[in-house]
Amino acid sequence: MEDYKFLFKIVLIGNAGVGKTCLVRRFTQGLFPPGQGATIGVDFMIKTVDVDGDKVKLQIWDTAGQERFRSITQSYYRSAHALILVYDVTSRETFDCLPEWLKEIEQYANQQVITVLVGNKIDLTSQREVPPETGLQFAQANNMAFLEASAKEAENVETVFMDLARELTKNARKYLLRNTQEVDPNITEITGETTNISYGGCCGSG
Amino acid sequence: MADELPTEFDAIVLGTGMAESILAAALARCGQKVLHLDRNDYYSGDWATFNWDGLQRWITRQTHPVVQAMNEAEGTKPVECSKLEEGETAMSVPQQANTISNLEMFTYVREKAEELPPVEKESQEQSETVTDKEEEQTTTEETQQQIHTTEDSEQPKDVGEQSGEAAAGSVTEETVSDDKSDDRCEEEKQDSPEEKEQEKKQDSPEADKKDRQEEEKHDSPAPGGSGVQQEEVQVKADPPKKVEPKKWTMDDIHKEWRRFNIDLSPKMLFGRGSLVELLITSNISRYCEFKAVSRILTLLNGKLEQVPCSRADVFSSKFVTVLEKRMLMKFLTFCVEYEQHSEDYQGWEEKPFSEYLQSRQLTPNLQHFIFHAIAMATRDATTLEGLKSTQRFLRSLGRYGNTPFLWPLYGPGELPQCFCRMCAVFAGIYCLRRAARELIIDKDSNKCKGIVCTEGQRISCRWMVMQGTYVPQVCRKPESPAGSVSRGIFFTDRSMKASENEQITLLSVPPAEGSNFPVRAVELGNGASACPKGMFVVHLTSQGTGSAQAELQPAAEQLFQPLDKEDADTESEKPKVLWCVYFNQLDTTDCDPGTLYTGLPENIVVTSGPGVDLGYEHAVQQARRLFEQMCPGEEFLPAAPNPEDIIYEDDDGYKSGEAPSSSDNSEENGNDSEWKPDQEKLDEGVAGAGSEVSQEAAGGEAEGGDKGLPQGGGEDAPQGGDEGLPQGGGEDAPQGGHEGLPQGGGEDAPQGGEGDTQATPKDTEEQAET
Repeated sequence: MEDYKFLFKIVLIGNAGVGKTCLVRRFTQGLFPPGQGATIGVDFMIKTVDVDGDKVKLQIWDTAGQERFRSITQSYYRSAHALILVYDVTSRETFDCLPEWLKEIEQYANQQVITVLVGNKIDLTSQREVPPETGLQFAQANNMAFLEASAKEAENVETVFMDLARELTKNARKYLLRNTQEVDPNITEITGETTNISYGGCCGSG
Repeated sequence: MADELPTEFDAIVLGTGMAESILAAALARCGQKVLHLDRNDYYSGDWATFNWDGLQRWITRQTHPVVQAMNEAEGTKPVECSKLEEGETAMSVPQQANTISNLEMFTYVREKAEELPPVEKESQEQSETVTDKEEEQTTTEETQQQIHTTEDSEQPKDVGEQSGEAAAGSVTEETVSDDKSDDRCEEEKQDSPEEKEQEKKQDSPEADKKDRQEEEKHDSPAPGGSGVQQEEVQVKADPPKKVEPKKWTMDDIHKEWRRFNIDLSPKMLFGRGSLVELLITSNISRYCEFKAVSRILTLLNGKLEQVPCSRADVFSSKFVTVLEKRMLMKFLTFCVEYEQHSEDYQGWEEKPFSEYLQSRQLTPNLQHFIFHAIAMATRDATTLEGLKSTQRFLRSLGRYGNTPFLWPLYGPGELPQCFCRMCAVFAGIYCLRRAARELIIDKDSNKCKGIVCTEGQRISCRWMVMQGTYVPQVCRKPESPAGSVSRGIFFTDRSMKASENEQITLLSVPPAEGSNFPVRAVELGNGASACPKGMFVVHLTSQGTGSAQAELQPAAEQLFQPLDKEDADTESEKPKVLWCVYFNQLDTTDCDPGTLYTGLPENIVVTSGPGVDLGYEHAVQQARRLFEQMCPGEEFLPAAPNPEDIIYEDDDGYKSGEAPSSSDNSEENGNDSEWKPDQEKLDEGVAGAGSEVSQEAAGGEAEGGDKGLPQGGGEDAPQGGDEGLPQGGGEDAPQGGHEGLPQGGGEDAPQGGEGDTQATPKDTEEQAET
C-alpha cells in the first residue's frame, strides 16, 4: 500500500515569469535557481510532508508554459484541491492581471478549491512595485489567504505549502468523519471536491 | 507579457480538436518543436464543452460572424503580403470555421419565477431571427449551402409538428409512491455543508413555486396525488420513488451557469477502444477522469427499457423470458468471436443484418435489442457490419463497469486538452485567439514554408497540420462531398427513465420512418458534471441529411413531453424540455482528403472534425496515420516519464530513477491489473456503482482476461456461472496483456531514459520563467 494518508493536487497559476517554477523547485528540492527550462517533460512534482503525524503527499502542478499566451487548458484546473496564485511584487503588471486569473478560477476550478495568493520576489526590495498592503487587501477582498515570499531566499516558501497542506488535511479529515457515519455514497456527493483524494488505507470503500 | 511568438518550428498545428491535439502531442513527444494555435478563445473547436455562458457565446458567434471580411470569393485571388520573400506566394486562411449551420434555439420555460407572461413567443422570434441570419450567412458560404440543399425530399416533415401526437401512447396506470420527503432527507444528508446551504436557499422559494404551480394546475386533468396517469406513461415493473421535478426558469439556468458542461460532440470511449489504449500507453490518462456509462436503454414499443447487455442484466431483466435469455447468451457468445464461426453467417455477409437476425430464430424482442441497442445499426446495415459493431460493443463490455462505455468527467471537450497539456509539457507552445492569416508557399517546390499569423508575425515551419476548416479556399474542391451531423441539446427537468441513482444513459432510437439513421441519445446529470442538480442534459445525435431540427424532432417527441407545452406535466414520466438548441455540424470523417482538397502543398496535412461516430476511433487513427507520415519510424506517443520517478540530482538537470517509472508505480499501488489511475478514480467516482467497479477490478485481476459480460454485482452470483457466457476465452489473454502496457517493465525502461535526454537543458530557451 502507499505510504501516505492523503494525496492533494496543488496547482500554480499566475503570469509568466513571476517565479512559479522557482517556488515549486525551492519547496520540493530546496534549489534555486532551478535548471533553466528543466520543466520540459515534467508534469508535476511530488513532496510528501508530515501533518500532525499523518503523511501527506502533495502533487504540485506547474503550467507547462501555457500561461505565456493565456492559453491554459481548463483541465489543468479541474481536479485541483488548492490553487496558488502567484504575482511578482516587482511587477505591477503581474498584480494587475490577478482579476483575470480569478475569472479563470471561477470558470474552471472546483468551487470548494482553496486559493492562496502569493507575492513572490520580495528579496528584490529596491524594485518593489506592489506594497504588501495592496496584496493583502486584494486577497481579503477575494477571500484568499495571502503571503509574500521569496523563492530565492527561501522565505515563506515552506510556509505557503505547509499551510496549505494543513488546511487541506483538516478538510479531508472532516470529510472522512462525515462519511463514516453514513456509508451510502451517492454519485452527486462524490464528484467535485473529493474525486481525487486517496485515502491510503481504505481504498475501494469509495 | 510577451506577445511575440518564437519564429521557427518543426510543425505548426492549427486547430485544437481531437486529431490535431493528439498529433501535436505525438510530435512534441518525439522532440519536434510544435506551435499549436487556435483562432477561438477556447480549446477543442467542434469538440468543445462549454458552461452555460460559454455556450451562449458560442451560439452568438455562430449566428453573428465576428469577422465580416471573410468573403471567400476574394480568398482565391493572390494575397498581397508584405512578409513575403523572393519566390514566395501566399494563400489566405479562413478566419472562421463555418462548420455549423441550421442553428435553432428554443426556450420552453419562463424567464423568471414571477407570474410573468411566458417568454415562449419572444424566444420563438429570437430563434427566427437567428435562422434568418444563419440563412444569410449560408448564401455566402458554399459548403453550408450544400448541407442545406442535400436531400430535403425524404424528410418526414409532418412528424416535426410540435403537437401531442408524440409517442405511441400506451395508456396505463401507475401508482406513485409518495415518499419524496424521505428522498430529500437522504439527499441532504450527503450534501457537503456548502451545498446544503445553497440548497436551503433555493428550497424555500422553490417550495413556494411548487405550491403556486399546484394551485394553478388545479384545472388540469390529473392533480397531484391521485396517482392515475392519463397518457404517455410507461409501464414500470417497480415504480421508483418519485421526486417532484423542480420547476426551472431561465433565471435559474443563468444563475447556475458554471455548473453546466455542455458538449458540442458528446462522444464516449469504448472500454477497449483505441483512445483508452492510447491514454494508457501515453500516460495521458493522468490528466482526465471518467465515469462509467451506467445504463443503456432502448425504445421498445414506445417504452424505454433497460438493455440487458451484461450477464447480470440479462439474468435480472424482466423483459426477457428464460428461453430468450438462453438465446441471447448464445448469440452474443457467438458474436464475440464471430470470425471463428464463419459457417454461421456464410452467405449473409452483405445481406441485411436485420434479416440475418430473423434467420437466427431470435424473438422480435431480442432482434430489437441486438440490432438497435447493441449494434446501434443503421437500417440498411449489412450482416458483417452488424456483427462487427456487436462484437465491438461486447468486447468493451465490463472493463470499466456495466456498459462498454466511459464518459469523460466535465465533458469530452476535456480530452483534446489533455493531449495539449502533454504537448506543452514537452515544450509545445500554445496560443489561443491566434491563427494563421496566410500560408507562405514556396513557388518552386510548392511547399508551405510557414505562416503569417493573425498578428502579422512571420513564423516558419517544416510541417503544417491543420483542421479542415483552416484549409485555404483555393485548395478546396468546389463540390464538397462532406456530410453533416444533426445535433440537438436539450435541458430537461427529469430523467427519461427515473431510477434510484443518477445514471449516465445511452440510448439508440431506431431510425424514424423513411430514415436510415438511428438517433443516439445521451443523458447526463449533475453526477456527470453536465448540469445543476435536478436537471438533465440530453444530447441527440444523428447522421444528418436535412436540418437538425427536422431530423431529430421525431425522436425528441418520443422521448419528451410535447415541446410546446408551457407547464410541465408533473405526472408524466417523460421529461419536460426546458431549453434546447439544434444545429448541423459539418462531417468530413468519411471523405478522402483527395475528394475535399486540391493543390495542397505536400507538407500540409489535414485533419477531420468529430463526425457522427460515438467513439474516437477515427480521430486516433487519423492522428496516428499522419504522424507516421510525418515522422516515419518514430514511436507514437510513448509513455511519458512518471514525475514520481524522476530523481533530481542537482540544479542543472535531473536523471530518471534507475527503476522504470510505471512498474514501480504499479507495485506501489498494489493493483496493477488494469488502468490503475483511473480505476482508482472510477472506484471513487462512480459511487453507486462504485462497489461493482472495484469488484470488477478485483475480478479482472483474478481471472486475468475477464471481459465480455461483466461479473456484475452480487445478484449475479446465484444464477451466474453455469450459463455459457463468454468467459474470458483464450482469445482474451492477449488483450489482458495489453492492458498491462503502462506498467510493462522492459518496454518502459527505455522511455524513462528518453524523457531524461529530452529534459536536458539544451532545447529549452522557450521555457525560461524567471
